[in-house]
Amino acid sequence: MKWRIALCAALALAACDRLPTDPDGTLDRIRSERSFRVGLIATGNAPIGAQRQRLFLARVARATAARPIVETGASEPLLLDLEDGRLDLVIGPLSSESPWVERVALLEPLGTAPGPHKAVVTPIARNGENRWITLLEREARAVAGEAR
Amino acid sequence: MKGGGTVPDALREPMRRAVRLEWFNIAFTISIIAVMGLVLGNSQTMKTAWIEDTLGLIPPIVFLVAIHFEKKGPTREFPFGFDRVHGLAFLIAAVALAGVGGSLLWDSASALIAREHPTVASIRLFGRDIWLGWLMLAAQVYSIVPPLIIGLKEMPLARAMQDEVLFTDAKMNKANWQTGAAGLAGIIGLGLGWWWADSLAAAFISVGIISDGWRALRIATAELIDGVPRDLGTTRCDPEAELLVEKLQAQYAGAEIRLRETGRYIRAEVRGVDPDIRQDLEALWPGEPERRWRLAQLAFVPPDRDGDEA
Repeated sequence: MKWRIALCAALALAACDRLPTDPDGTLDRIRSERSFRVGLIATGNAPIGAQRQRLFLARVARATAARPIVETGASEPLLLDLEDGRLDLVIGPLSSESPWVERVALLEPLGTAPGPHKAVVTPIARNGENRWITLLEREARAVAGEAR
Repeated sequence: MKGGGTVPDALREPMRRAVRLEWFNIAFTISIIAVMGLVLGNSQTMKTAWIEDTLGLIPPIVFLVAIHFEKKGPTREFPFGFDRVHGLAFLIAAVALAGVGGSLLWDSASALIAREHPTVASIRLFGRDIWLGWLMLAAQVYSIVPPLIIGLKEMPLARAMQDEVLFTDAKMNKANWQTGAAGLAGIIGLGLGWWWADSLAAAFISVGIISDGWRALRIATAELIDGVPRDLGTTRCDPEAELLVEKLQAQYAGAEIRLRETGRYIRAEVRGVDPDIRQDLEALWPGEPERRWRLAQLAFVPPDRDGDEA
C-alpha cells in the first residue's frame, strides 16, 4: 500500500514539473533542433529596445541551449508566420488595441521604447504554447529587472 | 393557516433558514467572483465560469426579493397580496439558469470550432515565476466547495417550503460546482497540452445545465399561466393536488374543479355549484398534514342562470 502512495506522489510531482506542456511541442522541438526562429518587427529606431532585444535573445538561447535564427520584417507577415507556426517568437511593439491581441499571445514587455508613442517592446508567442511562453516570460522578466 | 397573505406559521422557521442561507450564498458567490477575476487568464472555462458565477447571483437575489414581498400581505393597490411575486422570481431564476447553460455551450462550442489554443501564461509571485494554471486550479477548487454545500442544504428547504425559486437556485449551485469541476479537468488537460480539454469539458457540462434550465422555464411558465400545480422541480402534476381534485370532485358532484398555483400556494375553484358556507381548508387538504398550508383558498363560481357558465 505504502509504495503505491509513494508512486502516486512521485507521479504527481513528475506531472507538476511537466505542466504546462506545449500542444504543438514548440519547446521540445527547439531543444532538439537547437535553434529557434525569431522575427523582429522593424521599427524606425529604438536603441534601448534593440539592446534589450539582444539581451533577451541571449538569455533565451542560454536557457534552451539553442541559437536564434533572426529575420526582420513588417509586423503583419511576421505575425502571420508566428500564428501558422513558421516562427517561434516575434519581438516588437504591438498595441494592446491591435486585433492581433486575440490571435497571438503578448508576453511580459521588455521595456518601453523611447519616443512620443511610448511603444512597448514585447515578446509575442503563438497562442497556447504554454511551456514555451512560461520560459519566455521568465527571461523577459529577468531582462526588464536587469535594465531597471 | 394562511390568513390574508401573511406567511403560515409552519413556514416561518424554514423561511428564516432559507433567507440566511441565501445571504451566505450571495456573500460566497461574490468572493468567488473576486477570486476568479484575479486569476482570470485566457482560458475559456475560466471566463465562462466567471460569467456563470455572476449569473448565479440572480436566483438568490430574486428569492430574497420575493420573500420580502410575500411577508407583506395585501395592500390597497395589491388586494391579492404578493404571492405571485414568487412565480415571477421563479421565471427570472429559470431564465438565468438556462442562460448559464446556453452561454457555456456557445462559448465552448465556438472555441472548439475555431480551434482556439488557450494561452495560460505565468506571473511573478514572491520572486518566483508561477504558471497561472496552478492559481486557476486553486481558484477552481475554492469555487467548487461553497455551491456544493449550499446547494445540498437548499434542497430539503425547497421541498419543505414548496419553493421553486430555491429549488432552481439549488440547480444553479449544482451547475456552478459542476462547471468548477469541469474547469479543473480542463486546466489540467490544458497543462498537459490538450488545447481542446478546456472547451470539451465545458460543453459536456452545459448540456445538463440547459436541460435543468429548460425544465425550470416550462414549470415557471405553467405557473404564470395558471396551469395545474406542478410537483417540485418537475413538469408532472403535483400528486397532492391531484388528490385534492379527487376529494373536491367527490364532495361537489357535477362541479368542475380547477386548481392553480400562486407561488407556493394552491388555489382551488369549484365551478357550477352554489357556494358552500362553511369551509375548513385545513381539513380539506388530503396530503401530509404539515403541508396543509398549501391550500390557501377555495372559491366557488355559481352556475350561470342560462345554464352555462361564462
